[in-house]
Amino acid sequence: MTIFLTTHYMEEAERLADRVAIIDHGRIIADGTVEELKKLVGSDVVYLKAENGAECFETDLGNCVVLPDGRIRIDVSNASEAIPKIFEAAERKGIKILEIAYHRPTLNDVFLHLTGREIRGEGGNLMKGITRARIRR
Amino acid sequence: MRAFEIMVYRQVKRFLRARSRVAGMIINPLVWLTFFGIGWSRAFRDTSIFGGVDYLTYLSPGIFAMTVFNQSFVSGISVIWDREFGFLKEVLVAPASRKETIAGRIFGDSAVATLQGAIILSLTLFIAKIDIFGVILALGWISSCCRLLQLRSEHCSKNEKHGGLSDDDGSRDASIDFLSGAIYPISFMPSWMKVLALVNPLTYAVEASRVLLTGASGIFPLHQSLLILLVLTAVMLYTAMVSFERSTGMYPNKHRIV
Amino acid sequence: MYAIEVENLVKKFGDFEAVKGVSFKVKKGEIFAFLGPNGAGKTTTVHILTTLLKPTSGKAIVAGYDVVKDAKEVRKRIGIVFQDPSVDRDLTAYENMLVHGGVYGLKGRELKEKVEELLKFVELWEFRNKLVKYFSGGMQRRLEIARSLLHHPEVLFLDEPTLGLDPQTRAHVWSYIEAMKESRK
Ligand SMILES: Nc1ncnc2c1ncn2[C@@H]1O[C@H](COP(=O)(O)OP(=O)(O)OP(=O)(O)O)[C@@H](O)[C@H]1O
Ligand SMILES: [Mg+2]
Repeated sequence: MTIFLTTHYMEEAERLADRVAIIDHGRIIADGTVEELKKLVGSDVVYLKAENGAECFETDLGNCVVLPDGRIRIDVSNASEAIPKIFEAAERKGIKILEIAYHRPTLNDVFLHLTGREIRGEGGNLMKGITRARIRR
Repeated sequence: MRAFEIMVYRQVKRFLRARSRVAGMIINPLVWLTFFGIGWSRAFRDTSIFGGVDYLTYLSPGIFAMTVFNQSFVSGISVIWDREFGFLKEVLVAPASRKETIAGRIFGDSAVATLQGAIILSLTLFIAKIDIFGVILALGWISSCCRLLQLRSEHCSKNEKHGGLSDDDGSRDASIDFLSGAIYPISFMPSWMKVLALVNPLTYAVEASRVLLTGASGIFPLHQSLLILLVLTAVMLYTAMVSFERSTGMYPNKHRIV
Repeated sequence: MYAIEVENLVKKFGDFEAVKGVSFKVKKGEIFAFLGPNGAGKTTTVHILTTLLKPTSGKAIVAGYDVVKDAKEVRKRIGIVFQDPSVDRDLTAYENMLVHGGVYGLKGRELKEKVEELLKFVELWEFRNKLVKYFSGGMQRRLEIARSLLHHPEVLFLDEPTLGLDPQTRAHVWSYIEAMKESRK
């Protein structure tokens, strides 16, 4: 069975769909797998804080910069694969990681990138959603 | 024939489901017959006013026709609610023949109205002098005519009406009942009122069932009121089909795939 | 190969263009999502693909048939859960299923078995004799999903299947859709 699904919940599209078309004002503005669409806004980003100092100790995984607040930012293609490798590298070099965080682009970022708007959050549209919700009970 | 059959099932099920409505639809006419009819029949001693029958006998066919007409009205309302609640979208995306589905729905509603008429008539047999042979004819004929007449009028008025109606609301303009000769003879009406009565389709249903059921002399000969009913019904059946198709679509005709 | 092929689809309502030349293809067995804000044209597209609405121009092939020229063939092969509720409120869940099956020409034992299987699938079997008007929004949605599967559609359309549902119910509906993907390939 083939399923054609419409939604304005990005979590829904991300979780269920093999392929997503983003539609706005009657036009398809992007089309592809969730991964492909996310590539449009850039890569995953890993932020970390290391003991004694800020220095890019690992550059093989992707572009690395030290932020003004002392955190290290690494752009990686896939955060969940990169994080273990970062830990390995840190251990090899005897660096202790104090904090680690990552950000992956969401489909909402993709929509924002393509249209300059959030997929939800305009007052009027929100109201419309609420009225519909009430009708469903 | 499966779609036809299942639509009849649906209409009958839905009707039987609404128990309070079913009870009301049977109790109301009986209240009229008993408390209105019996009371007045003792006041009106002169049976010549009512075409040679006592008032109760005069009233019963009127109440019968009114009941069937009213039930048809409620069915008309349910068409609107189907549209509102999206059931018709279901039908429109299904491969079943639309005409068959619509016919099943109309037939189902007619069956319901006829059943109700039958109950009223069988109870009336005990209190009024009714000709049992007229019953069968009146049932089949008058019920289906009423059904179609009402279906049509519902479609004409659907837009302004549905806003104020609650789910089970079957209320409607009572003037149609008063202007039909169901309760008092048309011959006593002032002439402006008579004109209204003559354009009221219920008048002909009341007239025909009265002659059939009681043998009372009506204001028209039987064949004339039956003929008028027949013509009206044919016209209405046609317009009902057309307006049904039109009003049940989600989009205006020019946007639809047939 | 493709379950849906859409080429340059346009829909105008008067002067307003709701769909402005949309093209895409969906492979058989795939879950394809249209993601977009309110008023983007999602429902309009779904209604064209499900033969409810005539396109102004362009072409749409669903399950191998043209939605305008062979609407009836398309209708035989699709199922849909509409954005707005479309259950029969005055019937029970079970009767809703029977009526839907009947409209699709199913009957007898086959229909009854299928109804039972699907009502169990969406966990409504124990509520089968309850009137649908007393169902919560989530239960109605689950019933609509079960109903849409009754006639084995080749292509299933779900128009905002979790709109207005609470997060828990939404996750619930997602798990059904995932299960459908697994078991009904
Ligand atoms: N019958 C109609 N007549 C005129 N305009 C219409 C009609 N149906 C839809 N529209 C318009 O077309 C546009 C697209 O509507 P559509 O319902 O396809 O959007 P959607 O993506 O499904 O949005 P939602 O999230 O609100 O369901 C909207 O601007 C809407 O107002
Ligand atoms: Mg929509």
